[in-house]
Amino acid sequence: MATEVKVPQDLWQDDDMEAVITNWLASDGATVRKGALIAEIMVEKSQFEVSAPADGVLKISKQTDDIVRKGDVIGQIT
Amino acid sequence: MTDAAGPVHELALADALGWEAKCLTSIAAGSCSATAMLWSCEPALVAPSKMARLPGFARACARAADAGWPVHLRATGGDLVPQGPGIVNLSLVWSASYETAPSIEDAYHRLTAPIRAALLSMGLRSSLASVPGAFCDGRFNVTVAGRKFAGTAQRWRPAGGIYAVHAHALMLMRAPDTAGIRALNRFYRDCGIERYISPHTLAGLCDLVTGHRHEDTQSRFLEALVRHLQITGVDVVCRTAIKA
Repeated sequence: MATEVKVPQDLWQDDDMEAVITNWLASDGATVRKGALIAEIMVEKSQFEVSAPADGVLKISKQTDDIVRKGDVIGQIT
Repeated sequence: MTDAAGPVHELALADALGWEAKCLTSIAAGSCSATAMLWSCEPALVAPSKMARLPGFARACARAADAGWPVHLRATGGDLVPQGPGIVNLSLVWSASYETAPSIEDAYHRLTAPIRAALLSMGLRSSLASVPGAFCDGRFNVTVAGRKFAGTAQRWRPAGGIYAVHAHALMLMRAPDTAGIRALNRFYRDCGIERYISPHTLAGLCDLVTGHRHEDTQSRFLEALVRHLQITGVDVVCRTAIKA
């Protein structure tokens, strides 16, 4: 079963505000451990650390510099 | 915090950034409570780490260093900023439970409220607003009379049911001089970024409060800031306690 890696739903209040993926710290296809730092997104001059929500193999669906919104899926872990 | 030498730690920039990283880790581990430090450092430019991917970044760094402005990367978001004498930084770290649904906006208000209260204690009314043409512009600049007095940025780390939050404010005791503004604009040009920082968008505390010695003005403001931080339960790191 796949676990989605998501942009947090409630990190900022403005629904129209966009964030950008500034860095993937794990590669597509890498094995990651739950809780490991795997990506960073930036919104409103705030850098947010995205950690792996599960153990498994990471499949990246949004790339560095892609624009994302609240709740967007940026990867999956299987 | 009544240290006769004042509450500001004079640190090497690398040590200050290291302290911030260490403190965020401690907060995430639940091994310390809300903590703040006021610090100042040598002249430098500080860029968010994403800028390191720009094609001209290495060359821009080399040229800036040659001109006396070594470039450091930082963990918070935002854009290029200057550092040096005349700038006092407030680094504030705390934890917030997921259950309280903390937001980036709330965190900016927590960071800026003591700054704004300290300004008000000196008769200065402030706002939170963007200032086009100021360095590292953002909606949560602390502005006085339409000019940028403080810039703000954050880093968030989820950690087992809490967020560890690091919020940073760069406060201008004196507005950057011509050399500092030139260094910023040259860096952008060398990176191929079309951005121009205008000195007229910035306001240092000592430009805003006239008729007093600059040192006295700065001391009064910083003492008020420490008081307002402590009122909100923040532990302000004493100068003797820092181990950089």
